Amino acid sequence: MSLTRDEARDIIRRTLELSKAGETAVSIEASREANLRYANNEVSTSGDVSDVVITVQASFGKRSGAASINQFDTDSLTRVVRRAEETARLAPEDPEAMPLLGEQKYDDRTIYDEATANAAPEFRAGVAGHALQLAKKGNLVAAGFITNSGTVTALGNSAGLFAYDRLSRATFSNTVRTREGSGSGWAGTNVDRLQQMNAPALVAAAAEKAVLSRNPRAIDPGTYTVILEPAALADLLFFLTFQLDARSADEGRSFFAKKGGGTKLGEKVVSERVTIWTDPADTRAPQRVFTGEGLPTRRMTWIENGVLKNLVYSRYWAQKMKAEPAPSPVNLVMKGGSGSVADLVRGTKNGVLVTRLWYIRYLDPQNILLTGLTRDGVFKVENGRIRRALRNFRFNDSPVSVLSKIDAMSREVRTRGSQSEDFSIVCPAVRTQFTFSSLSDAI
Amino acid sequence: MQDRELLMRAIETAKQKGASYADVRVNRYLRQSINTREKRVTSITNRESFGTGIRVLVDGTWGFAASREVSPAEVDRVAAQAVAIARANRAAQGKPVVLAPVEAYKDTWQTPVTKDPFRVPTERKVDLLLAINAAALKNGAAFCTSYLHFVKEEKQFASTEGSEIEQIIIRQMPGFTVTAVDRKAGKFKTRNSLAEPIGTGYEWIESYPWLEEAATAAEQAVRKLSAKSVEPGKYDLILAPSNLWLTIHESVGHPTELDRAMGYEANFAGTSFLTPDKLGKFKFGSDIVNFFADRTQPMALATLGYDDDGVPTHEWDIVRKGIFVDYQTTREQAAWIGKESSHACSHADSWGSVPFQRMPNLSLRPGEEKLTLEELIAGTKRGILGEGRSSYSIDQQRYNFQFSAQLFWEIRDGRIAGLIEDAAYQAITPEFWGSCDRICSDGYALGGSFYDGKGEPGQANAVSHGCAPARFRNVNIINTARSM
Repeated sequence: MSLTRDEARDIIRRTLELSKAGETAVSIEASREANLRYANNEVSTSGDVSDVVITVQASFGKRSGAASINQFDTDSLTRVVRRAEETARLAPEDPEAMPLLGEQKYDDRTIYDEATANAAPEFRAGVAGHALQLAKKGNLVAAGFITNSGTVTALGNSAGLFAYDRLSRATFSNTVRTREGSGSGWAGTNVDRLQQMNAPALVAAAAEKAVLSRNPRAIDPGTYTVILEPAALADLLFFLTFQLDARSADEGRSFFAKKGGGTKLGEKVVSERVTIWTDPADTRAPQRVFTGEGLPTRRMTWIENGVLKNLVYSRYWAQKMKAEPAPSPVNLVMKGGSGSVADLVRGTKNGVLVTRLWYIRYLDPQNILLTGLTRDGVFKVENGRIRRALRNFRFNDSPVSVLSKIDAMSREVRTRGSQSEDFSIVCPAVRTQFTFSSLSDAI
Repeated sequence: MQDRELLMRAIETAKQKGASYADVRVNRYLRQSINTREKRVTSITNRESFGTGIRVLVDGTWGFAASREVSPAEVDRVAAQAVAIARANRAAQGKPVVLAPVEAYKDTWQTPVTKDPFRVPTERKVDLLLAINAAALKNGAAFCTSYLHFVKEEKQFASTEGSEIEQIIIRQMPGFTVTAVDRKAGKFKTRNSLAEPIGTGYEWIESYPWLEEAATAAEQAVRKLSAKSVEPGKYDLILAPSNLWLTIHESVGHPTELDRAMGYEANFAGTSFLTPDKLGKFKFGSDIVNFFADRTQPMALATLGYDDDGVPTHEWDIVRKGIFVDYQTTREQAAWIGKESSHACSHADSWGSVPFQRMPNLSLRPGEEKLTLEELIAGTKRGILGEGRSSYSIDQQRYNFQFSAQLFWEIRDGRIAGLIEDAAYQAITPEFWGSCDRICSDGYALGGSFYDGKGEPGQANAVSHGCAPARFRNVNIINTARSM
């Protein structure tokens, strides 16, 4: 469901008027997502769901509580306000409570696209229809998922803050498998405008990988020169972002904590080839102009030429450490090189090409050591060409190591990881050293 | 039934518009979460969500629509929309959907609880969490976070089969994490609570020895900082229920979901090595390995009276004497493998979500011979004991897995020799269950996942897995330590 700026402002005003708390903050998220899913070469499920969630945070001095509801008649708004107030009265004082933000200045850009948010069922059926047709023609088995959505976020509080922004998004991912089950390929993307999506190319890419990955051979686990495609690198970068919290580093429980105390700010942490930043205004992965608590989002460089430049500071921790508040990354951009994945393959004498990663979990957060698996296309590269399909591997490795051993990169592109699928990431494919620890029979 | 008239109206509208089958759910979800760290409450949130979801079959094709407005005009609109969507999807449908028969039930069901957690004063819950943190900090932890999450689902269901079912489901997830830090060495270690989420009332939380466990956890986190790094190799591995439940979930629960096995999850969670041709003959584990599924087990997270197809819950075997004998199914899926009835595994995580096959409680039967964990340890020469869930990862067909634990204990000559660090067990599913040589008769306990993910769009499911301690011979233990 879509809410206009005036409608959102009106709900917030009505809610604030009902409140008897010292300070009250209201947030509204109104969303509509339509989707279509197919598998086994037929449509399986579809949906079109709208919801509006209103969250009230009530504070009495340093005591606060929150409540949310998905109805906004006066009775429901009264109920949610009273519930937040009751909770706040019962809560102990929070020594780290921060006053509400007052009025803020935000950029006036918006990335909302009506045609994307409200695309007709024919758009989704068209993408699926094309994928199913191609799969049947090629004697392949297709599965995929298409969505388009629109989300309104509005914030308001008793200190005078009001924020309103809309996002639109369309996503598509598809897996094509060979009928006998020995090959599997995947391709997918998230975009903010439908025009940015080239679904036929993604269907063709998954089908090509499925055929190419048939009858994989085993090679011994070990450390190899590996080309990680953007979708694979995106997930590793995503895990890195969890560690950017300054407080955890100051408390000695993060990779970015320094031995003996303090943080690694200003230290070289990965290869000088690596520069990673957040930029909500980047048109390749645009984001809302404000954070969940109402701070303006802004460009922030995390790692520059391998050196840790910034960490995430909450308002409380920033005040305590005499730093500027720095919101968590809303997107990630890693600077790439030139050329495509195919160019990286052409320039590789002996290596392994990995399409994407799967089921990634921490082994050791201190070193951001992760385990996970390769999926949907692993290939041996020899003398600049893909020579044969390889069986999948489990890996035990760290993005720190991966980013420290890069020797070549493609240009950066918007991509979609398997575990960071809702997070907007722009990154290159990289050639690096990567450690496979065991083999998997999974296709 | 509070909203009976609306439910009946939705059913009638769907039928009039051309549905051959329809079900309507009017559900309210209440959720409370309280989070703390050290001496602070970081958040207290109460959430409420209400709405209706209507599902129809037209010419053997599904249609679904949902709304957060529950009024006569809106249920008419939503029912008509569901029928229209079914009609639109007909062209891309392969085989028409055939539902396994089910009787009409007019019934109510409720999670048995003594104390409804939503009636327990918030300050009592806050006091408990702050006391846990204090106990951990007093015993050497540098940090402690703790939480309580509660869910109450009020579900109303009606279908064209004539069923009218009302259910109230309550579950809760308590827990904490302690962190010990050695700043000089630049090291930190964590230890999570071994308490598990559970489908019962607040009385369970009151009976759990929280303060003792927090103190022990803090001491163990400190000891982990200097514990010996594991020597990689083959060991006899004993897993306590607090660790083994997750291995059951990942390596037995997910591969025996019929939709996965048939390829319907290929684009997301993956498929399964347990394809239907293996049914009734594949040697999944050793002869002592028996898995049963049910949604009736007391205190288990997926326990309720009827699933979201309106099918009564029951118990059945998944693996019998080591042989894979059955899948998890819904009414739609039963016919896929020639079965006449559903195993009641249909579930939607919200009024706005489409019901589909979700995991029931799936548990390992205890051993028949009298055996305690202490006796099992005493009978193990060179082994490792794992407790508590930690890192877990498994491939998309559920062959290759690698799991860690909160605590790994070295066993030497039948005795616990001390804590070890950096260990993970890595195995191939049927080989691992084939290596199971002892299952205790004592010590059966439930563990569970509060937010198990599946499907696109993603849906969460809460599910428990019961087991007693068990031993696995010659398991590959790797050393995961690596310094950057």
